[in-house]
Amino acid sequence: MELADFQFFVEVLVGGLLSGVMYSLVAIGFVLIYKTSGVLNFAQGALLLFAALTFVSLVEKGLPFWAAFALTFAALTLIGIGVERAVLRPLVNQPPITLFMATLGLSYIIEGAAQLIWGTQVHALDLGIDDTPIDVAGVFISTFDLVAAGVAAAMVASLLAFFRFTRIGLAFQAVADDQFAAVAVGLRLHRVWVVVWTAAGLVALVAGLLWGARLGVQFSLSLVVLKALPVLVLGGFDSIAGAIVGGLIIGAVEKLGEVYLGPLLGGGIESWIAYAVALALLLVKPSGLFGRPSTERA
Amino acid sequence: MTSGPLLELDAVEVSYGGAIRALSGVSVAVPAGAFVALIGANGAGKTTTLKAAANLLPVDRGAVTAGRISFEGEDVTHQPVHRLVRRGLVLAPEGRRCFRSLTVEENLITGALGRSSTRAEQREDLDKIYALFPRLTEVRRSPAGLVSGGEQQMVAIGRALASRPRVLLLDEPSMGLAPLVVEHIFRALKRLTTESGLAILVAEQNAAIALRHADRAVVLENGRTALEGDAKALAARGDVKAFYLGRAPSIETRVA
Ligand SMILES: Nc1ncnc2c1ncn2[C@@H]1O[C@H](COP(=O)(O)OP(=O)(O)OP(=O)(O)O)[C@@H](O)[C@H]1O
Ligand SMILES: [Mg+2]
Repeated sequence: MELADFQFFVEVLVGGLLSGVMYSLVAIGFVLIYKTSGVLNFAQGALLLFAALTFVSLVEKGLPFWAAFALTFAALTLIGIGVERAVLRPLVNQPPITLFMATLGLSYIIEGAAQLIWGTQVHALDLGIDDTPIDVAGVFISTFDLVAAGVAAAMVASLLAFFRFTRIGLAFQAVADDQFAAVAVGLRLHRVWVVVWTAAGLVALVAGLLWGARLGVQFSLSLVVLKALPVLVLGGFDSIAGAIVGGLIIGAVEKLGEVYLGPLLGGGIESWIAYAVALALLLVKPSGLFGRPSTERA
Repeated sequence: MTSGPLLELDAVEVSYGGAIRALSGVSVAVPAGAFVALIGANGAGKTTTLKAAANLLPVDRGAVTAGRISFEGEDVTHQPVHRLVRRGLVLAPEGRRCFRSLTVEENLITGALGRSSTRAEQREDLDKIYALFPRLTEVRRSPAGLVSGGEQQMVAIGRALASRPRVLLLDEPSMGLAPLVVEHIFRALKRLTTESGLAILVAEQNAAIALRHADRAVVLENGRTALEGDAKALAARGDVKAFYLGRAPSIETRVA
C-alpha cells in the first residue's frame, strides 16, 4: 500500500472510531437500565430527543449554555423520578416483556410531551465547536468529531468512576448482579432505579447535544437509537465495556464499509452493514462479545 | 424490650400467586441469642417460612394470608425489607447468591450499605467477618463468582452479618458443600450465637448437622409446624430419627 493510500485508510478508520464513540454513548444509556432492571429501555431515544430539544429551545430563548444544560438535566431527573414512581414501581416483579411495552408507551409519551412543549420545527444546534479538519501527520481529522469523542469519552469515564467508587455505584452493581439478593441484604431498589434513570438521562442529554449538533435537532433524532441496537448486540446488553468496544467496532465498520465496499455494492451500505455484522456475531455468540455469562467486570 | 421471643411466626399461612398454598400453619419462635434449626423434607416450606419472615415473598408473588410475624413484639408482616434489615433481621438466601462480579470484600460491604456507617465502622465489621472466616481474607480481592462454593457460602453469611443483624435467617448453608466445610461453617455460627448474642434461624435439609449444633428445632411437614422443641430431645426421638436422621439415601445424598 502506498503512503497516501495508507493515510487515507487511517483517516477513514479514525473518522469511524470517533463516530463510534458517539454510538457507544447512546448504547451506554441502554446498558445502565438493562443491567438493573433487565429491560431494554425503548424510551432512551425519546429521552435523547427530549433532552436535545429542551436544551436548544432554552438556548434560543436566550439562556446561557450552562443554565440551559442544568435546567434540562433537572427536567430529565424529574422524568427519572416520575418513571420510577409511575411505571417501574407498580410493575415490579412483572415479566420483562411487560416492562418493555411500558417503555415503548413511555417513549411516545415523552416524544409527545416534547412536541407539545417545544413544537415540531427543526432547530440548528451550534455548540461553538468549529469544524475545520486538523492535520495529524498527513491524516485529516474533523475537529468536531475529535471534540465530540473527547466529551463522550470523558462522560463514559466519569460514569464508570461513579459506579465503581461510590456507595450507590456498589449498590448499582449488586442490583445488576442479583436483584433478589440485593433486596434481601437491605438495598433499596427504588433508589438505585432513580439514580440509574437519572444517569441514563444525563447520557441522553450529552448524546443528544452531540448528535443534535451534527444532525440538527429534529424528531428523527430519536432514531439514533437504531444505531445503538447493533452496538448492543455486538457488545452485549449488560456490559458497559461491551458498549464501548461495540460502538468503536460499529463506527469503524460503517465508515470502512462505506468507503471500500460501497463502490462495489452500490451506495447506502452505511445503513445496513452494522446490522449485518451484529447479526453475524449473534449467530456465533448470542450473548455478545462481553455479555453474560461471564464474571468479568462491566 | 419485651420478654417474648425476638422473632416470632404465629400460625402463618402463605400462598403463591393467590392460589398455591405453601404454608398452612407455621409457628416458629426465635429468642434472642438462640440457635434454632428449621428442618423438613423437600417442599416442606422451609424457604417459604424464611422468606415470609424477611418479607421477601412479593418477589415470588407470594403473600402471607393469615397469621402474624412479629419482631421485638411488633407486627412486621408488611414492613419493607430495607427497614427489617436495618432493625436487625436479615436473610442469607438459599443458593448463596453472591454478587458474582463484585469482589468478596465488596460483597461484604454491600451488606453494610443500608446503614450509613462510617469507614471505621465498616472496617471493624469487615475485620470481624474475616476473623470468623479467615479463608475469606485470602480471596478478598477475587470476584465472588470465581471462589469456591464454601467460600461463597461464607461470603453470603458475612454479607448478611455486615448489616449487624440480631436475627440471621439462613437458608440451607450446607447445600452442595463438603461435610468438613459444613462443619466449619456451623461451628462458626454456633460461636456467633454464644459469643455475640446473635440469634440464628437456619433451614436445613441436613437435619443431622443442624440438630447437632442448634439449641432448638422446628420440624415442618407439608407447610405446617409438626414438632417443636429442644434440639437434642428431638434428635433422640424415634420418629425424627427415622424420617430425618435415618439412613434414608434421599436425604444423605442430596446434592444442590
Ligand atoms: N415461587 C413459587 N411459586 C409457587 N410455588 C412455590 C414457589 N416457591 C415454593 N413454592 C411451593 O411451596 C412449597 C414449599 O416450598 P419451599 O421452597 O418453601 O420448600 P423447602 O422446604 O424450602 O424445600 P427445599 O428443601 O427443596 O428447599 C412447595 O410446594 C413449592 O412447590
Ligand atoms: Mg428451600
